Amino acid sequence: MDLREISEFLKKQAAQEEGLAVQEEEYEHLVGFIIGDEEFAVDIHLIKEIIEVPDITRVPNAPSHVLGVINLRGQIVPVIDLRIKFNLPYSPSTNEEERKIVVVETDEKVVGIMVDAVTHVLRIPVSTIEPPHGVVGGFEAEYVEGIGKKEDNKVVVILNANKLLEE
Amino acid sequence: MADLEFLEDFLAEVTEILEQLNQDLVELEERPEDLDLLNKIFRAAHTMKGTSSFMGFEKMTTVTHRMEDILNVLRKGEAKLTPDVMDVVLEAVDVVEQIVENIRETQEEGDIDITEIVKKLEDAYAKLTGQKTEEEPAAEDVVIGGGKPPSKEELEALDREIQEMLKKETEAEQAPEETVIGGGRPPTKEELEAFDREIQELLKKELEKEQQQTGKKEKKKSDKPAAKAEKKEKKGDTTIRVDVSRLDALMNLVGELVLGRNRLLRIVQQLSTKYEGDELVEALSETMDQVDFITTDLQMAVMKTRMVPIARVFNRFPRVVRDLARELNKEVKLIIEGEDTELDRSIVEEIGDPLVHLVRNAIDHGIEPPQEREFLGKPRQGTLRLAAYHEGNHIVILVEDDGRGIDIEKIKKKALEKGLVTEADLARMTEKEILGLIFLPGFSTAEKVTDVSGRGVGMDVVKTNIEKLNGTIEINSQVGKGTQIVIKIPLTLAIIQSLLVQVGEEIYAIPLVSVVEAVKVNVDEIQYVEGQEIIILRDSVLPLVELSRVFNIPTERDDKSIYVVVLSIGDKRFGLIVDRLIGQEEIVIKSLGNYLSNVPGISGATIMGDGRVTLIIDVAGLANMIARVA
Repeated sequence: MDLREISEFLKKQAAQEEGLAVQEEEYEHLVGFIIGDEEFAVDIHLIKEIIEVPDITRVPNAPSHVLGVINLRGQIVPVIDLRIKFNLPYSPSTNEEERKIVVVETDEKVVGIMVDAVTHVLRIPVSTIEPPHGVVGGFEAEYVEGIGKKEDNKVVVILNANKLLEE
Repeated sequence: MADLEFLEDFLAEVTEILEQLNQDLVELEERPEDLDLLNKIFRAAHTMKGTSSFMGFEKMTTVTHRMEDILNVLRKGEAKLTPDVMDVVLEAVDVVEQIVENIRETQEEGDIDITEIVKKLEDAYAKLTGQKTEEEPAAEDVVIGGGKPPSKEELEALDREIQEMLKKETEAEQAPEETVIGGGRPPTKEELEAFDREIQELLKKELEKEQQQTGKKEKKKSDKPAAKAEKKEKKGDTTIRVDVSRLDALMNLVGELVLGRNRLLRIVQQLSTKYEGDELVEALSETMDQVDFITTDLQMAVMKTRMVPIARVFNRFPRVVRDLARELNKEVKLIIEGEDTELDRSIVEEIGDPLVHLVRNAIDHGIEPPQEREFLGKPRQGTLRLAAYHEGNHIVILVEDDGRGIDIEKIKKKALEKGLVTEADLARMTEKEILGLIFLPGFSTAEKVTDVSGRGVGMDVVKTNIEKLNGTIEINSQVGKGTQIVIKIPLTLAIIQSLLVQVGEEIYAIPLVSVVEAVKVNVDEIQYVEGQEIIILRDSVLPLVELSRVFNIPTERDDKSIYVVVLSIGDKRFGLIVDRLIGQEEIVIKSLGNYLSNVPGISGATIMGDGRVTLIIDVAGLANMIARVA
């Protein structure tokens, strides 16, 4: 489950592939996850790990999108629900087994994001990522870095993790 | 990379030097004849000049170089230190500190302008060297007198007296309307100077005589510095610099180990009851005991590595007090006691600002101007005492002055004016409670807002900061005699005793320091006064707060009886209604992290034996929340 190892491996692999490729193109490496019906993604380098959902302790008087705090090997980590933060209409998936917490780490903050499922590691060419304006509705565009297109032409919303963890 | 490493060492060294320098310089002002001290200061400036030049920080090199020039003149006894020169040198230290701060943040000196300070230093230097040529013979005497032979206290005291008179004479010259106290015609400046020279002459002779008599002593003296240096070197070898984050990581790991140990203990206990008498289980139990002991010791040992002497904070006060006293034209003697008292590093960092504020207050509002003090029959010089000592698991810090004290009537008047209390409130309150009013937000007793204390930060901020550290603050004051502020803080923020309580499905930890008692109360006993729930506990009224309501916890009270945890914070007392008391437990305090930095009523979290997170109640915060509701 240690995503750092996976990301190390993937980075190496990606570097090899890039070396083989004739033309050099820059890629964003992202981890994709599902919340409700939408697929989101966060820069792989900001992801500390992905864990099963442990006991969550509710924090009274905290903002409503904060589900509570968990014990991550001795560290207290808040867990947030983007569904509430972004006002997404979906109810959480009924498949408890697939629910995970994506632990994101920026400069000074560590926060877990509750997701319905983790999809896969994405490699998206930077040139194909579109800016968020005009495309994103439903929640604040400021949390979105861009809209990426996958190989199967499905879109994925790339989140700005730094912004997300700001407040 | 290597550069960065150098830079870190450089910053660490320079920071240490600057800290010491501030202290030494102020000390020097009191004992300008102390050659050892002067030499030490000179070496500090010299070292800074050398290292900064090596690192290529030109501005810092320039400033320290000029400082060194001045110190060199003083050190050689070619001129005497005056308060004005000291001001310039201290200002230069400030500039260097600024540069160092810039370097720490940006790795560059920044665009700080040093022309002004360099000019001031050069002027001071010119003045000093000018003075030298004028008063050469007298100055030469000073050098020899400065050797400070120990057996001539009398002569020295006399010398000091003359210096004092000289100083007064100079002052009188500047302010001719001021009369010199003392019978008859005060000696003129020239007379005093001549007398001073005579005494210096005597001192010199005395010194020579002594040196002849005990040639051995001379030898001993020359041996001494070498021995000192050796000792210093040895001490240097026994300490290393460690990055604080490594200690924090260590502390975290030990915290986890403690939790793991607690879990193991529980399992071993269960095994022991299940397989009583089994050899293997017995062996396991024995081993467990051993691991238990070692873990506890390890925990203590790691905690100790984070402990630093409070001198780290106290050291900046000689400078603060000196500057303030000069600025406000007051005379203040600072007494520092117990600077070796140790406490957790993180507390040391937090305690500095509140203390500075209290010290400022004491000098600004407490200690009277010298004339007023004389008039009142007090010594001209006010005394400010800063002391620290251990008391159980706490450290006590005292800030005491012998100034005018706090006038209760003035506080009453002010509190009424500001609408903080009513007459009826005041009538009910004890003297101590009234004194406590100055901690309320929006209260300030200073009649005129001075640049010193009137900065918009009041005592309420001081109190909040102390309470954040799980500490308490108390004021004792006597009009005309002085004020004493007592701060009590737990030695470490990391581990505390707590009372675990349950409400609904949720469990919370309350710091035991704030818990007075826990009582079982019949629901019928609860009364309502102006919409506020209260009970009468041993003849006194105790306001009640339902935790389930403050924290929005779903709970059903099927019982006729409830538990009330009586809490006390500062001067406030209130009862917290909970469903069940679980028990007392030692907990490791952890932060909720930066994302959840400010949750009302919650001060942190801890991890229980089963790995679950339990939140810690912020009693001070809760008391404030209630004050707002009520």
